[in-house]
Parts: sequence; C-alpha cells; structure tokens
Amino acid sequence: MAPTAREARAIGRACRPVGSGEAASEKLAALLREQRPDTLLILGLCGGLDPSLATGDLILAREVIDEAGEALQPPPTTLASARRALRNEGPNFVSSRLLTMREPVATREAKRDLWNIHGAAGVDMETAGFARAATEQGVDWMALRVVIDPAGATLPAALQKWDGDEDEGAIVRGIVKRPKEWLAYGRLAAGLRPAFRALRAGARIVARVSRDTVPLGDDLLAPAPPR
Amino acid sequence: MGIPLRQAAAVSRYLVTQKLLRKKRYPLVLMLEPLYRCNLECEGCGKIQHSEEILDTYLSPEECWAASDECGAPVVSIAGGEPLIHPQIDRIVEGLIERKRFVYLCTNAILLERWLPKISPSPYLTISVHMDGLRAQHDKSVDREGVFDKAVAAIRTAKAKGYRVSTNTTVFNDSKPDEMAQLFNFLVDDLNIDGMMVSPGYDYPKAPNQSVFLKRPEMMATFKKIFDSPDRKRWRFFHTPVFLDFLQGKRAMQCTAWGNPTRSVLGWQRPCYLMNESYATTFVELMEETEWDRYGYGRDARCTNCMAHCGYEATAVGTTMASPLEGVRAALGTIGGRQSS
Repeated sequence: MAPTAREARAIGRACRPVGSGEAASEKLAALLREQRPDTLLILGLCGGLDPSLATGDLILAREVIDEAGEALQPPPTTLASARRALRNEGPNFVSSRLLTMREPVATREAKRDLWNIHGAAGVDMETAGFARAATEQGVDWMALRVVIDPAGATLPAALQKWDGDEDEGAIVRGIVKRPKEWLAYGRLAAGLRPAFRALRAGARIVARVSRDTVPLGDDLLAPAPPR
Repeated sequence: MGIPLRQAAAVSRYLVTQKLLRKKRYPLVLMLEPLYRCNLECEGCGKIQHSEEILDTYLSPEECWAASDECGAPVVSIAGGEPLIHPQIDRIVEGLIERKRFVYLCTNAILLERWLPKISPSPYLTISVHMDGLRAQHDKSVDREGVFDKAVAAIRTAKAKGYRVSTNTTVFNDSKPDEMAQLFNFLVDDLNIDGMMVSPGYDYPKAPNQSVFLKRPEMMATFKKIFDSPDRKRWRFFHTPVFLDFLQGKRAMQCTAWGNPTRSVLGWQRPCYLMNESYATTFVELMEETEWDRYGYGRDARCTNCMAHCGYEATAVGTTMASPLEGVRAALGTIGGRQSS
C-alpha cells in the first residue's frame, strides 16, 4: 500500500493507493478484511528527520510511533531478515523509527525538534494509522519509506499545508505563484526519480523477504492472529 | 587558545585527504585503552567492572603503536582505566609522539605529579584531567575525598612545567548549571588550562549508580542553562561550535560511531567507545564488518540517551568541514581561543 496514486504508480502494479489521513486507515482496514493478506507492506515517501540521511535513503521501520507516542513494531523475525537482505543487496538504508504526524512537518527547525524528542529517522502522515489498522486485523506489516526532503530542508509553502489531497493542480498553482520557491521545488522534483528508484528496489526486497520468512522463536509462541 | 593551530592544520589536512580519497568511513580519534585497571571507582563509570584477569591485562607499547599505525587517526586519546597506572605509559606516549600523533592522556591526576618527570612537554601531548565539578561535586563523583585538591595541585605543577593541560568534564543529573559555570571559570581563570572538554554521562548499564544519568531532553536543558552563562565567552573548549550547539538542542545530529574507534585490551571494540557488543581482531575488520547502520540515535535503544563527544564530535567535525560558514566559525574559535555558541 502507498498513500498516493503517484507513489503507488512509481512502486509498481502490485501497489495500491489508499490515500492519507484517518479515512485512509478506515479504507485500508476494509480492504484488509476483504483480502486477508499475510503481510501488509506500507511504502511511500517521507520527510527526513535523521540528519545523516539524504534524498533517496530508505528507512525500514523497526518501530512506528504516532503523535500521542503510541508505538507499534513489525514482526521481529521478518524485520531482521529484511534488514539483512537490504544490507546484502545494496540500497542505502537505515532501520529506525518512523513518526506519523497529522500535518506535514515543514521546517528544518520543526524537524530538528521532532528528531531531538523522538529519535525517528523519518516522518510521514500515514504509517502509524496503517500499521494500527493491520494490527487490528491480525495482519503482519512492514514499512519502508524513502526520504524525499532531508532534515536540513524546509518544504516549499504550497506543500506545507498538504492534507493528503491528490489534486496536484493546487500544488502546481502554488508553485506558479511563488517564483522564489522554484529552486526548492526543482530540488524536490529532481529527487523524486532517484527516490522512487530506491523505493522500488527496496520494496522488491522487503516483499520477497516478507513472503519467504518463516516465523521463528517468539513468533511461534504468540497466539494465532484472528482470521 | 582553543585547539592548537598545529593540530587544527594536521586534522584538516587529514580530513581533506580522506575526502579526496572518497573514503566513506574513516577514524578521527583513536580511543586507546591500554588497561582497564583504575585507582578510583567513579559512580558513573562503566569501564572498570571487568574480571580481575582482564583488569590485570595491559597492552604493551608495541601493541599500542601498532593500533595507532593500523588506525591512522591523527589524534589518540589514551583512556582506560587510569593510564598512569600502566608501568610503560611514558614509552607508549613517546612512541605515539614520534609518530606525530596528537596525544590526549586522560587521567584523574592522582599520579600525575609523580609521572611528569618521565616525559617532556610536547606540542603533541595534552594532559587531559578528569574534572566533574568543584571540590564537593568532583569528590562525590569519583567517590573519594581529596581527589579534587590532588588534581588541582597536579594541574598547577604541570602548567608550571610547560605542559599543555586540558580538562574533561562529565555532566550528570546532579551537576548544577551554575556550579558548572563556576567550575569552568575556575579552570580558565585560576588554573589557566589550555582548553576544556565536556560531555553528558553515558548511561552505562554496568555503572554502579544508575540514578546519576540525564535523559536526552534534560541534558539539552542543562547544557543550555550552562552555556547561557554570561561568562560563556571566556571559556575555551576543545570542541567545535557545532558540537556545543548540539548539546543545547540547537542542532540535529546523528552519531558517527566509527569516528572514534576503540582499541582496548580485549581488541577493537564494537561498535563504539561506550558499547562493547563484540571485539574485532583488526581495525580493518572493525570498519568493514561492523553493521554501522544498526547503531545511532533512533536505531538502537542503548543510544537513546547518548550525546557523548566520542560519537558526536566526529559528526560535528564533518558538518564543520562541509559548511564554509561553520569552518570560519571554528577557525575563529581556534585562532581567538573562544567559540561562540
């Protein structure tokens, strides 16, 4: 799953867009009830909070947290296998925390403060909601995000109030109105292609690992999820 | 003066060379622990809880020099344990100086006055004295009365004999910002030390007193209060301005664990000076086979409250090198002996 159609298209045909925000989590829950997948892969772009990460670096979530501090973890065995596979197969990645916020985190100062408080490598607007929906449906999940705007970058004005709306016309109109921000948009646009390339490569690896991993240790002792 | 010009030039040359060689990871400071044995049992120390067999094991001078040659870092910080207990520490230091390494000999200074006649002052040698507070605070921190007075006397003697002397202060949760400011004023004005280093305590699981450690937000608040002192401009730190900003929460940074590789009596310690998950037999093995992406703030729970200079100063140096503005700020600190925060 990816939030927007643009992200889903970039990842491949198997990826479905579900939108952003609370409504998207409900939509996802309905889809999970209907399709009963073994594992949900949550994919997409994110803002960088870890200052060591650059555009195109991947974040494999070892934990996701929301604004209230509620934390969810993916299955440890699958996470360890995914981490090993990503390391062996080359994409630049870290295994860290992802933070989900209701609104975009726009400025470098806001990103710095969130980094200092939460130690999350990246921030997005969906992962915690999607992970919660999956957990409630008894579906395992893994999350892989790619950094598009690094920790040191401030988002251009038209993206600072983005609410998950897929109508890109409003964003384009915002760009046209602010020539001073064209350079910042140019940087973001230039980063999209390599970021999606990295995400596509990483998603393939994590999908394969999620499919192939046999639960071990604690996973075997855990009660079977409701189906 | 801040960091000596000679050292600043040598380190800059080394960093530029690494960049030109396109090295992704390279060491900046070798943390050399030729022994774990110590003559104190500080309440926040996680280094001395080894078995007697390990405490009785010392690295030979040859092993220390080989570690320095293998690593290639321009700066060597000799820690421990208490290095001055090592019977051949003067030979170790001399050998490192011959290799033109900038040596920081970290000591609690109890044995310093006895040791000084064994080695001459050198621009490559800095004696770094552990100093966690004024008399009451320091003696409490090292759990022995009289150590502060002994250290102060030793610093005065070393300064009188022409040695470069710095101090190393660990900030704990009972370190009061105004007392820290008084300490820094005393070290600069009264003892005329050449520079100071400061770092928050790392919450070693093995430390005897677990209640002394600050959590990350508390650390930032404490450092902000310390650096808000009106006397701040007079303090000379052996740190980049970027690192001091980081301590106050003004700047986001990730740890560079490979920046300060540690060679102890047990081998090359993985992944960093503060965590001993395993040991590599060679420096190359340490650098190439450690899963570095697993460590750092947000990535490993043990790193949550770590803001120590052994992990973050290397990041700060990298940031300084990458930004002309920060480069100028650091250069002004070196030349003018002060660093704005």
